[in-house]
Amino acid sequence: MWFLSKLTTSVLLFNAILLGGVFTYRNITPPYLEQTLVIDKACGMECWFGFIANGQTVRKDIRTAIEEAGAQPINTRGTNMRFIQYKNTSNQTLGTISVELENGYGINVCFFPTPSTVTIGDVYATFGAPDSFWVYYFRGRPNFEVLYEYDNAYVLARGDAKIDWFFSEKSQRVGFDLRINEICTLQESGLGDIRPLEYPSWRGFNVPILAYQADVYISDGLDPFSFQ
Amino acid sequence: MFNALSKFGYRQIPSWAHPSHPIMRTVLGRSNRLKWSRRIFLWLILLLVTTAAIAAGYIIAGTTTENTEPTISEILYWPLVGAQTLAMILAIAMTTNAVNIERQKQTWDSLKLSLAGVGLTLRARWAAVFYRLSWLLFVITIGRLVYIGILLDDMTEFQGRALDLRISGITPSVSLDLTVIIISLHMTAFVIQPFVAVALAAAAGLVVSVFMRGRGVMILGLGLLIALRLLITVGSILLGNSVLENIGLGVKPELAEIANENTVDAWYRLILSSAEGDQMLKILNLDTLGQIWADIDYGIYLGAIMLIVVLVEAILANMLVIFAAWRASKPTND
Repeated sequence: MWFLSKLTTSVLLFNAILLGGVFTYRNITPPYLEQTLVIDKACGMECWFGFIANGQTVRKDIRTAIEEAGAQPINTRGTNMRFIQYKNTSNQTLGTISVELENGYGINVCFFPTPSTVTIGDVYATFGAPDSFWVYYFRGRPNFEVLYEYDNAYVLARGDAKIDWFFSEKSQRVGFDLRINEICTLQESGLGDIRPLEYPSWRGFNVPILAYQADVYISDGLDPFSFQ
Repeated sequence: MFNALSKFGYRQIPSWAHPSHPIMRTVLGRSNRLKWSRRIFLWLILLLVTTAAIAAGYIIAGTTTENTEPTISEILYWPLVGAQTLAMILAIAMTTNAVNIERQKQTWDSLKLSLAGVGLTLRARWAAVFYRLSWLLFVITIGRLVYIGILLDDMTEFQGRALDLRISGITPSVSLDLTVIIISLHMTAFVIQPFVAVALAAAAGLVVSVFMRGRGVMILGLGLLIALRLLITVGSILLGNSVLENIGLGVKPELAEIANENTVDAWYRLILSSAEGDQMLKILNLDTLGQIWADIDYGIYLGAIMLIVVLVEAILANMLVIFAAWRASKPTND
């Protein structure tokens, strides 16, 4: 028995050292999205590219901040919208950044990753457990949204959901690899034209669910509706 | 270096289990060390058999995998299940005739006259199983370490935050630190399980050897014990298959349904199939673990429970050896 206890303790110690290595790596490596969006955690998780899109930063300061983060402007649409091409240090295009201006001040910032570069797992690894998650069917496509509520803004990520959630009787699990099409830091007005009357709470990746359904409000005057 | 490690290892075991102990030397029957040429030949045979087993595993995994190419875990699964089952059967076979051998050598009666002769001899025969099966246990351990390597690699996904994602929304909610400790316990159970399984099988064989007299009866007992062992293994694998998908594909939807209806049933399937059917090979990957944690309330504690089960089996093996020694040393009519 003495030998067994020594064997068990040795193996346990060995495993603890291995796991210690993994968690040292975890603690010294910032999440992918934190690096991509140049999030300043001291300022807040909604503080991207060196500024908060809370309507208090002017166009010039926004442009300077984004350029300092390694991005270059590529196009301008009208007077209220600015699109900027983002490049990382190895000059690989990761996606585009859109800053929405109101009266010359930034109110919403969105990042549109190129396909497959960002998953819902990356969003969770960066921002932690969301306040809400819901799925909806819009213009013939199933979508999902994850929402984080912060003091100064919301962070909202949107992507393609699985069709099964709408038509399957069986419970589903939210996969780590669901692709994100767009992630934004927004004021309340930017939350979208179609949104739930009450946001369903996040229940975890692996927890089996029938669907994250919600009563939905559409801002163009249509009645609220719910769907199965 | 190797000698130093061997000496360190030998210092950790009790003196009666040391290969230089007089009784152990007699049991092992190796007065002279093996020649290098013979040793290399045996290692080559082992390498050949291992390669053939992996090739067979590749073919089997190719027919069952849902990937374009079978993964390493899928390839190693059946060879490791086979090796583990073989190790247990050999352990039973090596100890079931322990008393009979001493009787045939006509040393049994003199052993019974000595103060601790019977106890020491039976313990030595039990411990000798580990020396004789060291080659097989070595291969099994290497295979299991590959699984641990894959698990650790999976944990580095999402910049090392793969575990954070898996514990999201589970019941009860646990901290990452506690999850790491539980994973560590699970990994420990996974590594020591083959040794404990061999110890238990050998101890069961020893008990049978004490009660069975005569060659015919002993062969019958051996056959029954091996049949029972195979039955338990096959039954446990089937039980595991009722709730587990192929390796890396998580659990079947039935697990959540069973857990909702009767949590004890879900636990029983996971624990028995892990302990007796090698299903820890299927369970110890991040996707399957994450789904178990989500499907069964308190499923996060599976790793700790598995280590307890393995340790209880080890204690049981030890008690069986003590019981066999006590029973064998009692005076008999013959």
